[in-house]
Amino acid sequence: MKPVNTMKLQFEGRSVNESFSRTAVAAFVAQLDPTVEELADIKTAVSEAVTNCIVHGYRDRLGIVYISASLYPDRRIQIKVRDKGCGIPDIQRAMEPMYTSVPEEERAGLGFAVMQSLMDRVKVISKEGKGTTVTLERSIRCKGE
Amino acid sequence: MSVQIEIAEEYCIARLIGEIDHHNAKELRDAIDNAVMTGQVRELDLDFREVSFMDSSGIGLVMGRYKLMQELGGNLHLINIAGHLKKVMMLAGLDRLAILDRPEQRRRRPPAEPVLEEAPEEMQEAGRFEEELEDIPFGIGGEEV
Repeated sequence: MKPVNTMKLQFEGRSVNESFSRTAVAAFVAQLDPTVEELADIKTAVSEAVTNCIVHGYRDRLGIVYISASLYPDRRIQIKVRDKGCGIPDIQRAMEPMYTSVPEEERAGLGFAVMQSLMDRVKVISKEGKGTTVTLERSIRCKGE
Repeated sequence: MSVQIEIAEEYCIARLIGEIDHHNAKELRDAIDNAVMTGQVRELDLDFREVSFMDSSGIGLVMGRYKLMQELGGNLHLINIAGHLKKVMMLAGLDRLAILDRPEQRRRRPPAEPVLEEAPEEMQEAGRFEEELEDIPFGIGGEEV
């Protein structure tokens, strides 16, 4: 299926940009006229994915975070969040609730669990030393349905 | 993001204002922990009324404060949790720690007050909290058309 609209965003992996990026994606998604709850779900999932890029992917350096988003005719939105950081050696383990590789940061280890419960689909592709791409998918309900 | 902290003897209420994410969680954590340690606080209330967004960094913040208060032999209460925040906290299982939704007024009462007299008032407060929940516009758009 061909998207009806797409956007790309790239920014430095500074934590101050977590807020910028989730707000930008929400503004793009707004054209589907989502509910407040749907928008909050998407903002939260994007915030988790971008935070992962900054905290884990680029843990010891400043790198660029790439986001692309596509809207499909069936009111589905697909968001890709990518970093060119260190990659995840064991994706299964990284996705386990409460697992975190940086306990000293007081992270809950729930980033992926939150993404999975708020999105319809979460896909993670990662290569050690090359980076990680997280793909988030969510259908926006038609108002009145 | 900011936090207003009030301390009265061993009670402390921290009113969080704005968005809680990885970028500002550390600052909040430091401000709250500093108040708890210097004020010898044993009852800590975190008030989320003015929080407009929270991702799993907020869960980390709550779990960390919960641990701190346990170590100090004190208690943590989360108040004014609604809509999106409630959803994120529930999926992290914070409700299982039985610290959600405690009415703020409870902290203001003299500690020596007899338990029996408390009961009806507490029920009233619980009722009022439900009303407050309904006032919050989450989930309204869409479903009711």
